[in-house]
Amino acid sequence: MKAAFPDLKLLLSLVFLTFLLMFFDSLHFLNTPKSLVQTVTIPVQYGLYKSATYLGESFRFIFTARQAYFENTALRIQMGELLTENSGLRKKLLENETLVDQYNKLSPVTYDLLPVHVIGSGRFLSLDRGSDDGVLEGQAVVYKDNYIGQIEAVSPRSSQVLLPFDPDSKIAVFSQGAGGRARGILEGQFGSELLMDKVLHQEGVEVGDLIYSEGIEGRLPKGLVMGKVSEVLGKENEVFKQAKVLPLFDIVDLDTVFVMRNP
Amino acid sequence: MTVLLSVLLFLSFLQGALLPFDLVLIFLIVRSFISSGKENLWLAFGFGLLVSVLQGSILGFFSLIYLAAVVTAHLIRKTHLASHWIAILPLSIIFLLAEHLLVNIFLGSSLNYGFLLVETALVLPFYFALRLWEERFVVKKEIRLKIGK
Repeated sequence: MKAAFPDLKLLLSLVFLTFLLMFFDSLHFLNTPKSLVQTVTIPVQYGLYKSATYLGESFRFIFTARQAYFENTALRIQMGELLTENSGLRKKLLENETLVDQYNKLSPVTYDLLPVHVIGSGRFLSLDRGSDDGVLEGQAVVYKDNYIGQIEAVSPRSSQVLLPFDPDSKIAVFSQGAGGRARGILEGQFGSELLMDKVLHQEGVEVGDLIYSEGIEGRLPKGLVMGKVSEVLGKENEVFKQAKVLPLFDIVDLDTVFVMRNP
Repeated sequence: MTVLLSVLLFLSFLQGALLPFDLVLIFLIVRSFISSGKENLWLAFGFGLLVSVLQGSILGFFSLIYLAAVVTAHLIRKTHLASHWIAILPLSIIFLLAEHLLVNIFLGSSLNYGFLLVETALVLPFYFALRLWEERFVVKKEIRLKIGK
């Protein structure tokens, strides 16, 4: 045995000592030395534990930040999709409101109104519908009961609108106001001005009077609002007088207008 | 020896404060398997007492377990079973399981086989690290200087 384990004596001594310690400790005789040792070991244990906790928190922060980054990216994509969807829905809502508004002004029973989108505006207003949808030259383009223009050129999928401000635009109109009724020709000026010309002196036209279409042109109905008189021009010795007319709204703001296919 | 004591002290506090594994027992089994000497007995006794204090168990409980482990590892080291390093694995499993069972019986702590597996897996890195440390001054055959012909 001694050959197999040369430190047998030491081993037996230690085992004996251990049992002795166990015995005394079970009788609580070693509480004081244990407490003394623990005054040293407990702060070390606490420090180690706090350090590990702090380290764990730091690593958790890194993982959380990484997770937050991915979540943020996903949410951004989701938000983009929702914004796009929202924008589409708003556009559809606006179109519906415009349509309802339009049908309240001009009855769809009387007028065959084709809703079209404005896709450009230069000298002419470009629309996204053409001859494929029954749009013909000369047809009136309206918004509510306001005159926007007249179809000037048509292609299968688009059309061009001659605006009333265009110098080529000449429309028979009449004014209606407190001073009575006056007839004239509404001519386009360069820019965004309209001039009501050929108004007889004896006919009353005043600032603020509304101007309506006469409806004697082929496809233009009577009674569409053309604008409002802003200034009356003319001298007593001239045969005709004139009136400056301002449109009621800016055409550039429009998104959806209507082509009248059967005035 | 100072390094050895420092490492054991660190391991004692680590298992006392943070880890549920008996790192001191693993270290002592591995060291007894690699090198013999009465200092292993002293280490087992001393650090057994420290671990008992740190874990709040009865003084001497872990010393007995560690002493038994050191003696068994030393005896196995002398047999032909220890010719290959893989022999340390079954030895460790037996001792770690025995320790868990004793702790379960006397201290009422439940037996966790998951911890036992992790502890067994930790034996190998401990073994290789300690062997590298203990044999750092042993000259290998292939680099021994040839003197004369």
